[in-house]
Amino acid sequence: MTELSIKLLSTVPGLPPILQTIHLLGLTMLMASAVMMNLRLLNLAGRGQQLQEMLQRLFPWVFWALPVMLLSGLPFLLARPQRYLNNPVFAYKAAFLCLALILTAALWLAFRRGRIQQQTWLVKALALVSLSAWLMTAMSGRWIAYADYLFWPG
Amino acid sequence: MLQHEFWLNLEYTWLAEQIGATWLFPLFNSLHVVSITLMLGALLMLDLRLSGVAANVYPYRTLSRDFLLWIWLAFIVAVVTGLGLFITRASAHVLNPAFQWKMLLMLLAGLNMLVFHRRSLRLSEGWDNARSIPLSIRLTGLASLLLWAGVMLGGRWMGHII
Repeated sequence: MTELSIKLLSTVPGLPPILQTIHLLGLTMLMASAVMMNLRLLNLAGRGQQLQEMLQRLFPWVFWALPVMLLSGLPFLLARPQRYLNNPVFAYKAAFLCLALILTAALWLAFRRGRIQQQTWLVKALALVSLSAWLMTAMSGRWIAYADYLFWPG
Repeated sequence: MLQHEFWLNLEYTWLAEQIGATWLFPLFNSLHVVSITLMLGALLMLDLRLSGVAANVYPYRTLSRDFLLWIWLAFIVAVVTGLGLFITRASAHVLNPAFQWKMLLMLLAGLNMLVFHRRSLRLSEGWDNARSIPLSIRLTGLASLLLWAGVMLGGRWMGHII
């Protein structure tokens, strides 16, 4: 897999920026949906739209964006695993991503069981954490390339 | 004009040196990415409604009230952070074909927005309530999505040329 990824990324003209753009477009779909849902739960945006209908409409976008992001990001990880696995910022990104995924899955389950009828303080608090976790996942993604600024080697 | 020393002088301004030499550069870069995803995400929802692909239960105006402010705020953050990044290597960026494409496509996206505005003003009141939005309007929605995806590709490609 490592050899294949290196070969693809280094021989197909323009593949790295194209894959990265697909990764960013996937991020746009994901962030738009996740931010919108959480802001709606917090009553900060989209009050003209009904909560149930919005969740119904936006969840498929989240579920489609996730495999797009995974597939467009994986070749870079496979091609240079040590660049990522030894990078503390990548560990942060993975942690924020796990937190965001767990909270989003919890929201989806609660929605499926019809338990998101009114926004209690608990729902709002979780929405705030989820929103922050998604934002931090995106931020730390960009900072992977700049780990030296945070963790000066030696 | 693109070879003018003005671009090089930008790199030697106090601000450009501050950004280029400190953690401000990665901070601006990550804020640039996040603001772009928020701006294009909101624009995506609006354009999909205009193209008649999604959220057809709402009139366009309901959605534009929800999204336009967010789009413009995120756009302003993206422009400010983008300028901050640009001045650190201005003379190289203006000669970078990916950057030139990015600027051209952004200009076209702006023109497309003006076309949409003129067209929507001429249409009769209530066009945005209709389930089937006029074809010319739907095309501007579609064009906007394609142009902004191109802007993103140009922006990402810049870093691979320098």
